[in-house]
Amino acid sequence: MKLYAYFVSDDPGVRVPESVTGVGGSSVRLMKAEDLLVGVSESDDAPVAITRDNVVAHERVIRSVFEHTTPLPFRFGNIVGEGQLRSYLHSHQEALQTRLLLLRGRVEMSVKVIWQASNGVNAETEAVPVATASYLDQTEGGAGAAFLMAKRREFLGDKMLADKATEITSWLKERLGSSICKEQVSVRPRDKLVVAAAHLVARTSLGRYRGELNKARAERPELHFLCSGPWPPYSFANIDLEFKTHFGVS
Amino acid sequence: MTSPFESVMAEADLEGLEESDLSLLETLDHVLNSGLVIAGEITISVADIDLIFVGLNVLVSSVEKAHEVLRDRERRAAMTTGSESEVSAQEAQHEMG
Repeated sequence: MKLYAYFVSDDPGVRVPESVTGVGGSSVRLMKAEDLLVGVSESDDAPVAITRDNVVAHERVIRSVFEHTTPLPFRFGNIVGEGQLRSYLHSHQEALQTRLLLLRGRVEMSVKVIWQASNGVNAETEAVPVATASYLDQTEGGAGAAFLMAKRREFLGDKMLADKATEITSWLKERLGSSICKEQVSVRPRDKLVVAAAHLVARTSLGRYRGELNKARAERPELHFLCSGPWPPYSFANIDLEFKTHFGVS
Repeated sequence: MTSPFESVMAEADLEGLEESDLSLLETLDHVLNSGLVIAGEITISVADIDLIFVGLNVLVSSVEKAHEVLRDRERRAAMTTGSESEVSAQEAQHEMG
């Protein structure tokens, strides 16, 4: 028999309500290891299917704890033997506790920025290359010129999109910077979803954060925003980098 | 190669998505793409996905991540049995999927 892991907490008062069931309808219990508590349920060795019920069950267990305290959430699908889990907690104890300290009293907020072809951003990138193409067609012509023109169009388009994406990222940080403790930002200029940001925000600053976000959204009607939260801090849970740096493991 | 999810993404009408769809997409994005991982111990199956949604790169990246993990796991399993042809067949199947 193996264990399915949901979260790690250093809060001695952490509890999972009996009414909350885990993946596959299993009951969830707390396992104490070192100075940490881990939410686990019994599991067989079979892969966990990515179904709506299982994903929601995983999130439901973590959220039941998150209402009162901020745990370190596991990603969906961690199935381990009890010995292996204890070994992991022992060897990573310092990194886990440092991360829990950083996350204490804080939550994750998600902001995704989407641009559509019709919002003027993409239209702008297409306008310049077209003008240049007309000029080259008149002066050079030929297959070679057409090839170079296509490369130039590609380059200019990419650069303009990248500049615009960077501008949006900087603008968002400037507007929200005073109410966020830490951020993880992914910028994808070629995609429709151009910026995906995760912000770590103190529970006590949520009202201010939301107010600043609403003001920022009103400033940029050409962009579409998907905002959600508060979330357990999934995007800030990865301790691998800190562990490798601290212990020199590569 | 464009995956079926990317094709859907390209045609997605974001304005038309219901709030509940977005909420579930965000849940997927968080639960499948991030969080603490005990090295090499993610055990998931994408064989019976019943999550059919339109829109957003988050779902595309989540599904791709799942495929990636599953592919690694199957490659390791095949290597222990010494069957290279089985690995190629599985990879081809995933590429098509």
